[in-house]
This record gives sequence, C-alpha cells and structure tokens, in this order.
Amino acid sequence: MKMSEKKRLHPISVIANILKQLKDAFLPLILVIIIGNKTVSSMWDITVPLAVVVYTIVIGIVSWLRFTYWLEEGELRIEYGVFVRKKRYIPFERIQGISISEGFLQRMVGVVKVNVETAGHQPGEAEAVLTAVTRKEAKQLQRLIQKSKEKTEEIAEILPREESTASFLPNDQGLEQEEKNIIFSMNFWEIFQVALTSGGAFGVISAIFLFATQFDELIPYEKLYKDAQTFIAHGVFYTAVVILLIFIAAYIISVIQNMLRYAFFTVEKIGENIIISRGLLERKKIAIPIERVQGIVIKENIIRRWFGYASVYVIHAGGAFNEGDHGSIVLCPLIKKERIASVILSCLPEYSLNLKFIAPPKRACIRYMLRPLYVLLFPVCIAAFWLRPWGLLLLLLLSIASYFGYLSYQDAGWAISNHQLALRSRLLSVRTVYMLKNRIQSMEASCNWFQQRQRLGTIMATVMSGTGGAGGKVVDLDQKDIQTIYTWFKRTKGN
Amino acid sequence: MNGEPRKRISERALSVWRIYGMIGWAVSFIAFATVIALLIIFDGPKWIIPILVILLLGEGYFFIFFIPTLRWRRWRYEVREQEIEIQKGLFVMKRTLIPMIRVQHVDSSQGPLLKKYKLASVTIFTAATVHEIPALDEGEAEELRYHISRLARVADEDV
Repeated sequence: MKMSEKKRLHPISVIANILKQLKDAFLPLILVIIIGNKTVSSMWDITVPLAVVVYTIVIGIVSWLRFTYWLEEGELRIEYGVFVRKKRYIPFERIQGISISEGFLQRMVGVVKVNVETAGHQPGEAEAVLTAVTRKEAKQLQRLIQKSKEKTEEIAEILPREESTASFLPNDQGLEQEEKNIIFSMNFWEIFQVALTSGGAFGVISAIFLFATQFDELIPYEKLYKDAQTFIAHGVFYTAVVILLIFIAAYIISVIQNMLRYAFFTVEKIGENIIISRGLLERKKIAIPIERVQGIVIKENIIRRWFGYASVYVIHAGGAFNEGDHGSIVLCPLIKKERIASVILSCLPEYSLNLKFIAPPKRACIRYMLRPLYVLLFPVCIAAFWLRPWGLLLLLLLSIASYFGYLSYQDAGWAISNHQLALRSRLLSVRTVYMLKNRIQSMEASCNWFQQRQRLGTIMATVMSGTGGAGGKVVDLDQKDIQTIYTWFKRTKGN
Repeated sequence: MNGEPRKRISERALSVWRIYGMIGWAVSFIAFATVIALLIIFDGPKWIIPILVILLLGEGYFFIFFIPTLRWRRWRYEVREQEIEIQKGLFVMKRTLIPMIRVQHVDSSQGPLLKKYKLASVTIFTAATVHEIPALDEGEAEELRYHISRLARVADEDV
C-alpha cells in the first residue's frame, strides 16, 4: 500500500461526521421545535429541522470528499475544508505521539481512528484526527513516524534535544546508578506559615459562590434578597460584621486546606527528574523531567515579601497526550529568598538567579501610577457619589491603587545574561520569570501610541501555551532596552 | 525600532479587507436606516437623524478606507533562515519573533473571498503560540509554507 498517494478516509467517517454534527445541533434543534410549537404554523415545525438535517448530511458528505491525507517528504499532509480550504502539513519529527482508538462505528467496519498529537498549543487536543483509516495504515503511519524519530534520536545523542519524548518513569533509570537527594522540604511550622499567608480565602469564597450558583434553582434567592434588604436596612455596621465573619471563616477553611495540601512537602532530584511529593490525606507525587522545564517563576505576595519569603514555581511543558501535569507547578511553597538560588542551583543549574535587574525609566513612573486608575476611576467615583458623604472616603482607594501602581513601577524590570532572560512585573505580588533563550517560543515587542510618544514599549516572551504560567511581560520599558532584549533573541544578527 | 521586516503582504489584501469593511458597513447601514425610518414614522426628535448619518458615513470611511490602508501599510513580515519576524498593528505596533526551531507546523487556508482574489493565508504554530500571515498571493503562500516547513525541520536545536 502506498501512503504517498492522496487518499480519503473510509466512507464510514461520513456517518461519524454527520452524527457528531447532529449531536452538536441537537439542543438548538429541540429549542426551535419547542418555540415552533408555540407559533401557529406547523410547516415551520417540519421545515427547520429537516433543513438542518439535510444540511448536515450534505456537509458531511462534502467534507468527506474534501478531506484527503497522504505522506510525502517526511510529512503528514492533510487537506480539508468545505468553504475554507485548509492545508495542514505536519513534519514527522514534530509528531509527539499517535493514539489509535476505535469507536462503535469504527469497529463495525473494522477501521480505527487515529489521533496525531504534536507539542501543540492546546494540550489534549489532537493536531490532526483521521476518523477512519484501516488498521494496517495506522500501523504503517506509526512505524514511519517511529523511524523518523529514531533518526532524529541519533542526532539527539550529539545534540541534546529537548523535544524528545520525556520518560515519565524514574524507575526505568533505577538500574543505572542514580543520585538521589532531597533538595527542599518543609517542616510543620513552615507549612503553617504557607497556609497563613497564602491568601486562599478568596479562593474559598469564590468556590462557595460557584457552588451557590450551581444550585440557584434550589435556593430561594428572591426571599433571600428581601431578607438581605431588610437586613442591610438595619445598618451598614451589621452587614460589615457579617461579611467580616464570612471572610474569617473562609480564611480558616483555606488555612486547613493548605495545611493538608502541603503536608510533608519534599522535593527530590532523582537522575534527570525532579520529584515533588506532598499531601496528608491524599499523597501526591509529581515527576518533572528536567528537560521539560520551560522556565522558573518566583512569586512574592505582599505579606510574604514583607518577611523576606517567596514561592518558587517551575513551568512544566507536560508530555504528549496530557501525560503528567502541565503548567505552573510549585517547587517551593515558601522559602527564604536567600535560599532560592541554592535550591535552583541544585536542581536546575542552567538558570542563574543572581542578576541585576534594569528598571523602567523614570518617565514611565506616571504611566505605572495611572494604570490602576483606568479601571477603578469610574466605578469608584460612582460609588463615592452614591454613598456620599461617607462614600467620599472611597476616593482614598484611588490613591492606594495609585500607590500600588508606584510599587509595580519600582519592582518592574528585566535582566539578560548570555542564554537567559528574566522579566519581573508586579500586580499585587511580584512575579519574576526566568526563561532560557532556547525555551522561548516567541517574543513580542509592542508599543502603542502613548508609549511611542514617550519612547516606551512593552516586551513579552512566551514559553508555554495557556494563561498564567505562560511567560513574562513587562510594560513601559525604555525602547532602547526593548531593542536590546529583542536583538538578544534575534538569531539573524546585523539586520 | 530599526531593522524592520522587509516583505509586505499582497496589495490585493487591501481589496479584500475593503470588502469585509463594506459587508460590515452594509449591516450597520440597515440598522441605521431602520432607526431613521422609525424616527420618521413615530415622529421622534429629528435632530438625531443628521448625527446618525454622520456616524454612518464616519464608520464607512473608517472601516472601508482608513483602517484597511493603515493595516496594510503596517503589515510586514520576513522569513529568514533561523526565524520568522512579523510586524503589525493599528494603534499598538507589535513585532513578533518566532525562532524557526520552535515552529511545529504550518497551515495554509483559503476562504471563498480570498480564493476569488487568488490569495491565501498562512498560519504558523509553535508549541505555545499561533501566528497568522493573512492574504498572501496564492503561490507565495504555498511557497512560504513549503519553505518554513523545510527550514523548521532542518534547524535542529543549537543548545
């Protein structure tokens, strides 16, 4: 069987497509029928669903006709799309894994479904799906990709390649002589401190709120609102007390939660893996292959910063098919700032933390101080007017917000060394991201009209998909500095 | 910043974007016309009508002429041996640098309107980000996709 010819999927995929489409259209369709029942014409009842069904069938067939795939020049090539024609070419080397599955439909005609996954932007979502191919073809595809993998592995022996699939079984290396040492651990007192300063109360409150909204049908809100209205009428003081009590309760819950979560927290280095284990009731163990670490994040929240403590996270890229955890993983929940460098040195020696950060220029200060006001100014003014005369005290909030803006100006900065970029920014807590040059996926320098006038700009570097632990960003740096960072990342020099 | 990327996207992109603008404008034309008709029928305040007309004309100018032109003028890209650089932005100028070794795969796609103008867009995927170069000449897009796909594989890590 030649794989280099353009070919279509097994026709069973037409049915699979149609069924999937119908499943998606099911709810709206029911809705249309129900609404249709209330109107007079009975034609409507039949025509709309019929039109939808005919449409899905036609689309199902056409999209099957248009979907072709083949292997050529070491790439899996797919062309598809009914209205918008799309071509997707995936080099074998970039394919992280192939999973073969068979659903009910596939089994009926003896074919399989193939999911092709790369180190994609959306973990867990396959980059390409071949809904129905013969088992033989699937095997062949698997073999071909394996072969090209091996080829690159040979290169990998000379050049350490980060993209090679990670081994998640530290036991496999157990036969080799391995160094095993505890890098970091926490005693009871430290864990208690973590729990106290974690600020998880907001998390608990929002969880309660979420929980409440899940059952909004059961809870008699209208009655509650009425009660609340009479209650509030009794005085702002009582309301404040109740809110305070809720906060205290939530705080205590979050402290207990965190105590349980971080109990017996230890970090070990076994061979080329960092092993983090924690938890009292539920013992959790996370293995992070060092080659999958995309960056280090150091966070200092307000309270911890006060006492000279911080928490350290690693940005972990995960593996193919959602193997292992993905995202920011806490390495040290609470650590004296002076100790961080030594911990990092013992597990991730490629990173260097002792850097001198370069701050944004003085002229950026005013922009930093004004930034929190953009969002706050309007609601606060309205609230102040509404609750006057005492509400005018709310205006103090604006100056506090502005002060935090000033703090973020003071703490922002960047530092580059030969192979590493560090970006530091602050919202409420200070966040410093350390990224190796060869781990940065893309870099963006931007400047808007206002920044342009003051020769300022924003720099952003991304090491992983997703929000949160995705990378670093610093606003309002000097454009010369931006240029320096940008050129540092550029591989084509003298341009 | 100096050293801008050199290549521009196809000039025909301008026509396509203008058509997109016109479609949007047609929709708001209908909406505005309805409001004006209602104002006349129900004898509403007449002074609103000239304001609406000005708004509509303004929108037309903005989305059919001003923005597409500015967007086209700002759009630049360059594919080099080891990296791809993109520059774009209307009010916020953005420059993006994507190392070739980070490119996972490349898509090209073509909708009906783009097809009519013999244009296509190219989308570049890294493990973390997605970048689109819109409205390239069909042949150029194909070539670019081929080229990037080639370079992305040759460029092995230089750790």
